[in-house]
Order: sequence, then structure tokens, then C-alpha cells
Amino acid sequence: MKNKLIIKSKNIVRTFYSGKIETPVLKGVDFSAKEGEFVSIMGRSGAGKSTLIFQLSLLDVPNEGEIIVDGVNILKLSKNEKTKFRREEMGYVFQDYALVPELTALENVALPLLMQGHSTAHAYKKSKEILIELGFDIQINNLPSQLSGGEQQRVSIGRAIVHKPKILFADEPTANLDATSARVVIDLLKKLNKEGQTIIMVTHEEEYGKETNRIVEVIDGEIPEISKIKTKNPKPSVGQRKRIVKKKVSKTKSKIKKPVINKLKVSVKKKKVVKVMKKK
Amino acid sequence: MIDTTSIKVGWFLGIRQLKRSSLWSTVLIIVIMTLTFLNLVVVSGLLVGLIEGAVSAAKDRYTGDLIISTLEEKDFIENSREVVSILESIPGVETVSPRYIASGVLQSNYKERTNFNNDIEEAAAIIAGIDPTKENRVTGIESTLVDGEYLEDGDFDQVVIGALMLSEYLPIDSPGFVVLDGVEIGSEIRLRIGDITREVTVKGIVRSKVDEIDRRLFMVDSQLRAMIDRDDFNVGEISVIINTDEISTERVKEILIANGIDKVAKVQTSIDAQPKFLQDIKRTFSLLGTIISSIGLVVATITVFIVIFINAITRRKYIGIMKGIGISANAIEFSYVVQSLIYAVVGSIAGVLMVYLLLIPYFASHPINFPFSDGILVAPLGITMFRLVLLIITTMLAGYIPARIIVGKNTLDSILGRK
Repeated sequence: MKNKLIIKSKNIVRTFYSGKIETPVLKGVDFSAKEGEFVSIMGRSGAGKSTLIFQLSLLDVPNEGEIIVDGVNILKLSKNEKTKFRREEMGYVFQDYALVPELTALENVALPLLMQGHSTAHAYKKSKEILIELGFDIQINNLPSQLSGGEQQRVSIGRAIVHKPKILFADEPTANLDATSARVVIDLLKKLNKEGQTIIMVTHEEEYGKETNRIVEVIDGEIPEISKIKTKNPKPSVGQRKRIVKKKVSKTKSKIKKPVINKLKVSVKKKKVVKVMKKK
Repeated sequence: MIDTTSIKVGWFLGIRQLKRSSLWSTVLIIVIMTLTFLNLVVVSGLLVGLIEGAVSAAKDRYTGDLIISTLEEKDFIENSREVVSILESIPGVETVSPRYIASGVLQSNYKERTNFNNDIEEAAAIIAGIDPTKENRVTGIESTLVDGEYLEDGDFDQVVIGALMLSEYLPIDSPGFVVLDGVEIGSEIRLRIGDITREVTVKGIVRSKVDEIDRRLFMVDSQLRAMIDRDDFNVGEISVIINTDEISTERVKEILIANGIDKVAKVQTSIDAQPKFLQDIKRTFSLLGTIISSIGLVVATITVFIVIFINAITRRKYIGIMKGIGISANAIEFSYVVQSLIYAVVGSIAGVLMVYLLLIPYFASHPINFPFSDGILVAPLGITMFRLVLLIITTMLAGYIPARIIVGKNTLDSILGRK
């Protein structure tokens, strides 16, 4: 891991609107990762971790904030430039593998290279090398429907790294896998990281989060300073966690005082937070 | 503008999608395209073919490649023998059939009637005096016999009568359309031309579906010449068959005009001699065929649109994923255009093969039996190719539009399946 920041986001705000109802999901998130770092983003369901990775990976556009990737303010790029940037500088591993069903494993992996303008022969050669590295042999000509979940996820990783992206984004890559396959995928990501690949992974499984360089915890659309945990350090103490939650409650209270459109939603949230406090 | 990489990737995706989709659904769509193509070509082709059948029958059975007929104010072509000899001297003129023409009246039941107060059945007819051998060489009249036998050179009082003169073949009862009743092979009928009346026997009945022939009575030229006292040998019509590989019909016409034939007769190619109403009907039928075909084209376009739309909407997630990993929207859209293109091209080629290898030869040997013509299938290559291109372009558009609608959706919404 180097000291150079490969990605840095400032004050990312993402609110979803449905008619008059607005749902703030990210409320001014700052996030950064160094080149060669393996960061896991964790949090409860609905905390906003997937939304965060979608903003960082240019699959979605925040309402506010800026994202700098390797010195480029990616939110200022045009639509076509964003597509090109995603194609050349980023790789994606999705929760449900998301392989194109009509393409074989080899063709799926070759797709990003073909789109970059490489010849079919070169794209197949590189893809084959990657797939062999990932433990494939004769299955490279199988369609996704002929592969197991673990194999499909490995193909998905192959597709994500074949063009040597600057950052590999993985959104819950083990969520649909059994323990054995999940282990294989995590080991593979770790191996890629050791080889220098920057990886930002969303996971809700603490076991795998701990194996990364750093865990960033998203709590109700925010990343409190204390949640940026280096995995070699101990977990935050109970006291630290309580402080985080208190800070959250006070923020929520201050919001209730203001005229808010969706009052019902806020009051429900308040109850939830109190419940969480009691549990703690 | 779409770049070459997008075209390459679009082709890559489109071909694989086609190869690995359900064989039956692909075959079904291709069959729809083939039927659409046939609808485009065959419906108007048959409608036009009905008229074309009438036109070609008129040429084959009546005018030949060239017909020389009397001027408006004349009853015969002056110096007919000279005209014939000029014709016969032109290289490429294969056969010439001069015909004596006269107006006459036919009477049929004068022998059978029991009450002399009853009217004799009478019908006006054109009487044609022919050289049976030459006429048969030009018009193949013998092949149009539906009953009886054809004339021979020595026949004296025997005639061949057109089917439209007989009630058996034209069962309509109209005061302006008089036909003879009860006349069959061997019947004796009276033929009156001017003051001369002669009893003749029906030897044959012809039905050529050309009114000019089917309303005539044919007899040997020498017999008619004697009846009308035409000892100058001036005929009323001359039909000519030309070997068009050797000389064009227009060229023969030019030669005749250069020889002053147009001063004594009307010189017309078979096309010139076509009645104007036939051309009008042909245009109307062609328009009608185009309208019917256009409806077929719209139906096919909607079918392809729905097929591609369903295909794209069910694959919306993967479209989102592909966009997510940086595949350009153009490439994804092009992949659907490729699929539509292949459906249209394969379907149209199958249609072209069916039209030219199956349907045209079939209708040529088994024409549709219409009262006024033998309907054939007319599909000129130029028009067929135009329709083929039209079908392909329309189908490609029908594939592109739904693909564009789906590809244009928000990438993340597509990936997550959000509306």
C-alpha cells in the first residue's frame, strides 16, 4: 500500500425523491482510500453503504459533493467520459455476479477489453490467462448457467480486473455464496490486493471485513470519524459506540425541531434509535 | 455517431444473443419476416399479375409483337400485299398473319324455331378471314380451342367461333350483350355480311380470354374474301412476330414508318395497342397492392418492435450491468439492431428464394383462372429489391427504437431493477 490517495470524496449527499417524499441516504460523506488499499465498507442494512459505493464507482451521481479519482474530479466528466472512465479505470464485482447470460465465461471476461478496442484474439488471450489464474480450466467456454455460484463470482472478478483497473469495487461479493465459495472469493480479493490492486468492498459480514486493511462503517448515511477502523486495531469500545449513537440521536432531535416534510418517517427513525440505545 | 469499436462489440453481443437464444423463437420471427416479405411482394404482384396476364394474353393471342391495323376512316389497309412483303423482308421478322376483317351478323335458331313469329337469335360479330397456318404460328389460336377442331386451309363452310359469342360460355342475360343460345360443335349458323348470307358449320370454339378474339368468328381467308368481294387482297389487320434478339420491335416500327406504311395503316407495338384502361387498372391494382402490403409491413414492424422490446426489457438488468462496466450505449443498441437485421435479411432471402424459385414458376405454369385473364405473379427484380431494402430498414428501426428506450434508462435503476 502506498501513501498516494487514489480516491477521495468530500461531503457526498445523496437523497432520493419520490413525489414529495424525500429520503436522504447519504448525508455528507467523506471517504478516501489509498492506492493499493483494501477497504471494506460495512454497516447495517439501509445504512447507505451500497449507495456510497455506487457514488464512488460512478454508477450513480450524488446530489452534492465531489469525488476525485487519481486526480480527476469524476463528477465533472461528461456522460461519455464517465462511461470511458468506468471502462478503463474501474472494475466491478456485483453481489449476484451479473454475468451476461449469453456469453461464455471467456467472452464475459473479454468484454471490457473488446470495448477498449483490443482485438478479439488479444482479448481472448488475456481473458484466458486471467481465468486460468482464477483457477478455471475447461469451464472457460461454459455459459454462466453452467457454472456454480462461486465460479460465476470468480468469472465476475476476472471481468473486473482483466483491464487492470485503478480501483476494484465489490458490492457484497460473498452475499450469495456458501461459506466455502465465499472464502475462495475473499482469498482471491486478498491476493489481488497483495499484488497491488486497490479494492473497495461493501460487506455486511464482519468476518470478511476484518481481513481487509480498513473497515469504514456507514451509520445512517454518515461515516463518523470513529468508524474508520483499522482492522489491526481493536474494535471501538462500547463507550465509543455509545458516543457515536448519542451524536446521531442529538442530530436526529435537531432535525425534528425543523419543519420537515416527512414527519412520520423521522419519528419512526427516532423510535428506532432509542431502541438501539436501549439494546446497547 | 457510432464508432467502430461499438459496432464491433454490438455485433459480438448481437450474434451471441441470437446464437444462444431459443431456436424456435428465432425461427418464428424469421418466418414472420418471410411472410411479411411475401405479403409485400406477392399481394401486389398477383394483383398486377391479373392485368399483366391480360396484357400478355393480348400480345400472345392477338397483336403479336406488332400490329398493323386500318386507319380510322378506312375498312382495309391499302396495298396490303406490299406491306406484307416489306415486313417479310425485314430481318428478324419471324411470322406475319394478315387477317381480312368484316362486320357481320350471326343467326342461330332459325332452323329449330317452331313459331315463325318468334325472333331469330342474332348477334353481331367481327368476322376474321385468316390463313389458318400463319394465324396459328402468330397467335397459337389452336391451343385456345375449348371444343372442336381448328380450321384447315381447305375448309369451305366451316368456322371457329369465339366463346364470348355463345351463352354456354357467357351465361349473362343483358339486352346490350347478345349471345347465341344452343350453339355447339356441328351446329349450323347463318352468317350475314351486308347482303350476303351464308350458312356455315361450327367446327371449333376458342376461348383466349382476349375479348378481340373471343368475340370473333374465324373462317378461311379465301372464303371471307369471296363473301366481301375483296379481290384486291387488302386485309384489315396484320399481326407480326419478331425475333427481338435480332431486332427490336421499335426498330421494325421505325422501318415501316420510314417506308410510309403509317400513311396507309396504324402501326403499333403490342404496348401501344394496349387499351388505356388496362394501364389504369394496373396502376390502381398496384396502388391497392401497395396499401395492403404496407399494412403487412406495419404489422411486421410492430411484431419486431414487441419482440425486441420484450427481449430488451427482460434483459434490462444485464443492459445496466453492461453499461456499468463501460460498454457504450451505442454498442448495446447496435447489438439489437444486428439481431433485427439478421431476422430481416434471413427472412427476406427466404422470401426472395420462394418468390423466384417457387411462386413465379408455379403461377407461370398454373395461372390463376380469372374470367378476363390468366393471373400470373409479377415481381420485377428492381421493385422486389426495393421492397426488400424497405423491409430491412423498417425492421432495423423496429429493433433500434425499443433498444434505445431500454438502454436510455438509468444505469443503476436497471441494475437494481428499480422502475
